[in-house]
Amino acid sequence: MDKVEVIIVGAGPSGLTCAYTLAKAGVEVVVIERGEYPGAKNMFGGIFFSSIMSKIFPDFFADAPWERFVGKRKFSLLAGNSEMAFDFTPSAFNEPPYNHSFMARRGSMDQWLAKKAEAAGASIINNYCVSDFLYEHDKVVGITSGGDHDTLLADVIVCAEGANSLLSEKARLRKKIMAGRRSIAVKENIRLPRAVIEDRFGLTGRQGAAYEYFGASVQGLLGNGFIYTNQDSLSVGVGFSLSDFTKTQTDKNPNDILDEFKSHPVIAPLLRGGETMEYMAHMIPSDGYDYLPKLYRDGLLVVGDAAGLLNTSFFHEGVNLAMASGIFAAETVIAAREQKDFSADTLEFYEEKLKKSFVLQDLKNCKNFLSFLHKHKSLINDYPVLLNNVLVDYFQVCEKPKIQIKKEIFQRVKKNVKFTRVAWDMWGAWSNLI
Amino acid sequence: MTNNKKTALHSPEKQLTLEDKLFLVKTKKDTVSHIKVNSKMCKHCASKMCLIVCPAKTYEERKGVIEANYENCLECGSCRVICTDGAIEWENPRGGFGVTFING
Repeated sequence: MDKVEVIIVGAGPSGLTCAYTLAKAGVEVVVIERGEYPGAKNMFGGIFFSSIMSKIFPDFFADAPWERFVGKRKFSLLAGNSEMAFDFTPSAFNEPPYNHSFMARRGSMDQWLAKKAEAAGASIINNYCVSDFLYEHDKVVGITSGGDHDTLLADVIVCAEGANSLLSEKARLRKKIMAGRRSIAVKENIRLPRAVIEDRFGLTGRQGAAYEYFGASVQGLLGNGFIYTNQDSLSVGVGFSLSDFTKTQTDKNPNDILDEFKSHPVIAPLLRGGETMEYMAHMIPSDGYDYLPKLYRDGLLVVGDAAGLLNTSFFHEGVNLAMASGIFAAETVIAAREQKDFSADTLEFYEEKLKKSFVLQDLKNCKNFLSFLHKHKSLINDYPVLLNNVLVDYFQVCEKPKIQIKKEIFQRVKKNVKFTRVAWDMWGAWSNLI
Repeated sequence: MTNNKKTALHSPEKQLTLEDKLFLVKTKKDTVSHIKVNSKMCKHCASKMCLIVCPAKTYEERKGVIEANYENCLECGSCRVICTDGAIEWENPRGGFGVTFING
């Protein structure tokens, strides 16, 4: 059987960053991708967080196939047919390095990254699906696609196969992934002329807008809707927790929920005239700090989404955590190679690196985000409506003196909600969500 | 006139059906299914979440038996994760088969 130094399963941001770092250090590395090219099976919301990318590749800004930089952000609360929003266009996001946030499409971005890894000396094999690992005693020693002759051996293997990680289960790094550990996202790529997008969203040049919609955007589910502007298309989608989806006992499927988001009176005018070019779906890890899989064993490391390394809070950062984990895995492999020891004792170094970095520190910091929202769904469903009603009353134009309006609002709110409860919820939201 | 205005503002774009959307997905169909459903287990399942969660409506119930139209699958894996009984045996399609996303 053929043998190489390192096999990486999956050509996404974590796997390719790992491959690049290893190849650059002179390590023999083969990346195995089940799609017809890197990125062919990948989908994300649409924002590529590039703090790690631009550090490794200073030509990222000039050369990479990003669509627009995120110059405008909007966090919006939908309540029924109403919208309340916090729109944020800081000059700092509109100057280099553009807050390391760029709209992108994974197909082109992952292929760009793959070319970098190949140029550094990594080999990439497409159209090959790894169905299981090969073991010797308790050590992972190779991969197979199922056939007797379709095998490849390596000193160490890096599992970068993404959110629907079958291999990490087979290697017993985790139990079967359950609904509480994943969200689902569906999105459409909707084509619109560049000038229409720029006029409609108030954009100049390569500036882009990232709009996130909370509250009634996803039928009261724990999740949100989004619109991100590419150069001449929009990424429009919804994502929500699979366990909340189960609990809610809705009979709407994710496509219905996306369609209802798209036809919301606040959203529909933004999409008007657009032509849907593609429809896609993917899972999002929401393991959370306390439920991460085991990150290594003899001869094996897990990186990126497969390891559950995604910030599930408002920040939605995934790509930069994935890329950081790819670098840490590569550095660990390089150190293990010097010691000629790829056992769990040496590979443990990987977890230490993650713990010292922003990756696991951020995950630890937001570990209560989803569980808090699961327990306080009124924050998503009731408070937006309450706030909307208060604002409508407050700004009403009539012949009542304003002082009387304020008194009436106060009385009505007092009748409907307990202030101690609100204060308690807000304190909880402050400490768990922000 | 007022009515027209209201319709123009609130009417969604011509909604594509799920079938229309799936038609847009670039797929290389395999001849063998990458999904196996253990129907015996499904008989005792009350929720049958696979029928609802799949964004491509891959699963259908025919005469009490759950069948997977694997050609529709977008390979998200939600069905496998949401099935509490482990009745769905889901493997990746063979290398090079299945969906190819252009604008992922």
